[in-house]
Amino acid sequence: MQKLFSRPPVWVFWTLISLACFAVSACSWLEAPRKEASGLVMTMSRAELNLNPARDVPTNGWIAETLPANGLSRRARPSKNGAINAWARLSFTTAQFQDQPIALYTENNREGVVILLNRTEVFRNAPNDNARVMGWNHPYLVPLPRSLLRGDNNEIIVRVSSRQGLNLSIGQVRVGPQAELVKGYNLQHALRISGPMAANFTMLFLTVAVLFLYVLRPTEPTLVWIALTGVFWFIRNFHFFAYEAPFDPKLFMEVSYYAVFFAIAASLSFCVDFLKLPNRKLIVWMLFGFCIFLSLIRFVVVSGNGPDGLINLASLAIVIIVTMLLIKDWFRRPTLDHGLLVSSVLIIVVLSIHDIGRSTSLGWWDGMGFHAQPYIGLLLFSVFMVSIGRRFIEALNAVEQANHTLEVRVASVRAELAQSEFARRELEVLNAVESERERLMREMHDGIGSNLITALAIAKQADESPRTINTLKKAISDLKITVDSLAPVEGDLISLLANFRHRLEPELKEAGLNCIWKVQPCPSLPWLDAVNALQMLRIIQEAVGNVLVHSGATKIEIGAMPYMHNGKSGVQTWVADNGHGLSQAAHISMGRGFGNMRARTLSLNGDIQFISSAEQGLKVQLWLPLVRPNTV
Amino acid sequence: MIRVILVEDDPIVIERFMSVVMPYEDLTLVGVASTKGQGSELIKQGGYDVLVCDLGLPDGDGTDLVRQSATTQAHADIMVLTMFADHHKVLAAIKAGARGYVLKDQSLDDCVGAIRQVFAGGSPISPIIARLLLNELGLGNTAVDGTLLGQPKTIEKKADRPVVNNLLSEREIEALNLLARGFTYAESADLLGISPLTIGSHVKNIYRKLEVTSRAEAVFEAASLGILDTH
Repeated sequence: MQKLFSRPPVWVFWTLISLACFAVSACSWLEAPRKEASGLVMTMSRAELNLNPARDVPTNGWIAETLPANGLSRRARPSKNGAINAWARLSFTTAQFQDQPIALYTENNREGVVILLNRTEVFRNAPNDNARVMGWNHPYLVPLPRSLLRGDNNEIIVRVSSRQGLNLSIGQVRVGPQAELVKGYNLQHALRISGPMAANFTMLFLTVAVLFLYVLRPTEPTLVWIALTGVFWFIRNFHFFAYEAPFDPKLFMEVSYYAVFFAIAASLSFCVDFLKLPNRKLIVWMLFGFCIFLSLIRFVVVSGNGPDGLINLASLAIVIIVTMLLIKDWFRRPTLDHGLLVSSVLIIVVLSIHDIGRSTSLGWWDGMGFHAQPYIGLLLFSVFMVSIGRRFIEALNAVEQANHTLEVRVASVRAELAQSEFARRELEVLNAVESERERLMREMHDGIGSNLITALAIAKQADESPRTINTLKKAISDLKITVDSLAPVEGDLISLLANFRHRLEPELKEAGLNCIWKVQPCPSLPWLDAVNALQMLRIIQEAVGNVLVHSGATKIEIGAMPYMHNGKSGVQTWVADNGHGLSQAAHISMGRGFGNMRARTLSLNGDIQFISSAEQGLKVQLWLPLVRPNTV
Repeated sequence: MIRVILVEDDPIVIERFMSVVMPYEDLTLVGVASTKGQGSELIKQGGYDVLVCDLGLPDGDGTDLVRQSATTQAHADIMVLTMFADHHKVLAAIKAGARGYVLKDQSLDDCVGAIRQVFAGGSPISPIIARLLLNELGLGNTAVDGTLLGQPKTIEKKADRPVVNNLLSEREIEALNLLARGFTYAESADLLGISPLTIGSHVKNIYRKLEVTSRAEAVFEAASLGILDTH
């Protein structure tokens, strides 16, 4: 929809074309009931008129004229002060109607209407001439009693009465079969009276609702313009369907006339303000200025018995000028709101031209056969409500979107917070573990370690037995491995091996062993925590210890590399020597050590191989998985 | 002549140290202290080339003495005496200004070589300390798979550590990676095509840079906390 209204010229063109088509089709459709199929309905276009102010049927002074006869007030006023009246005399025969019920249909009579059939009163719309009856827009269907009818020549007398200062006119009169006339009457009554009444009271009700909304949100000026639009258009339109004037009919009609200027000003002010046109405040002031100006001009013109048709055209000109401004702004900012409002104002312009053309003062055409103006208010009001409702829905959508965005953000922040909290707790645990590890290391280092070192020093000084010294050295060596296993290497096997080698270097040197270091970059083993690292180091320590004690080797090779074992990724590390391999005797003496190594390997979910040959020495191959089954 | 002072509370270690150092003509022990307080006085007096300092002193942490010496006697080298080269303690000492360490459990004969090495411009290092240093300098890897000669580098930086790798030269990083992977000075030197002494020199430089960085960080943190008036 937004895209459709993004091309204003196309839509201005199509709106006007549609309106023209609608007007043409509506005219033909509404004209249809007036051209009854039977051809029996007689439209009385000629009548004898008499402006005699007497209350009884004048006996002379009748002048043949055409109907409808408008503007009779100017001719009637000089003849009487106060109420004015006019007479029309028509005649018809009933032969062609046979036995059908016959009725008279009349419309556009100002204001009081009395109808006599063969000098007997058959209808009146007001109890007397002083009543505040408003008959100008009402259609009347008057059944003509068969008892009063004469076969060859029947006389109809229509008496209209009005007040000084108000119009006096005799409208169209048709006589025919009641069954046929009632259709046209019903339609005209619906379009002239029932429809406008329903539309305008609906608008009034909605206006009250809008005023209530304005009380709730006084900072929204567009609500004021909508409410004023409703109020002024209701005041303007009430005289279209009122049966009686609520107060002095002349004053009531004047109020109705002047209200149209204010209704136009309020409606256009809404458009200008809602669409936020440049210089909108100035435009609004000018609109109301023009409206007051036209009111004054009209007052002067009407007071001098002048015609007010030109003033209506001037008000239409103002509507057209503001419409042009709206269209210009629509070109600048093609929005759906512009499209809706400009289209509705264009419709109003066309309908206003229609109404002005069929007004009694101009009488250019009969058009659709009724005034469209009573519907203009509701049309504008509805479009305004749709526009503001649409904006309200957009605001709600924006709020919903904002809420959604906010919810997403809150959820995201919550997740971050949860993550952060999780990380914090994890860090706390890690810190606690680290601090405990440091405490243990300190204890071992400063306590047990210090004492062992001192004991070793004393043993050496005291020239204790090599067994004692070696036992102390082994204890120190074990402690070093334990300390190293606690080092924070994050599962890096190479670091552990490297540090082991570093520790071992003096010992190997002392044993005359040349160490060959063959490590390749290896992935870290996530499961290699302090406990498992100690197990792994103990296996290597055992292997190296065997080389030192049993192998008789001159060379030791320590290495590590990534290795697939049974289709599983992992790291293989090895300790190999160039000694005499694993003899039967050595196997027996080292049996417990191998058993320990196998048990430790099993606990690590790894695999250990002892490859021995007399020529190449012994190779202990330890494979450790990248992922342990119980750590998946 | 290398003038050495010793701060150590264990009389047996003092005795052994003296017996080891005294016979060498190029070394002379010019002072011995057994507490932190005495050690501090000894440092104030100066007149030494190498400070050998135990970290666990009865009246305080030997690291403070290391810092004092590094600040007031910048020309002197510092070595810490440690039981097993406890990684965190050694690292803390290096940050305070130490340039090497001597293990108490080894034959103290080795400490003569270590003193000579540090005096000559080199420093010892263990693989785990090398790894911790890499982490400390923002070059830490999940696995120590650093650069081998002719191989592309696959160093994964840790997001929560300051990236200070521009602090070290390319060669220093390569040397540190090799040492962290367990290669000895000689092996590393061979792989890099340089002498083992240069490796020791690289390590000493790395220690020095770490000390400077740590001091700068400490100053920055103190300034951030408002402890230090920067004006």
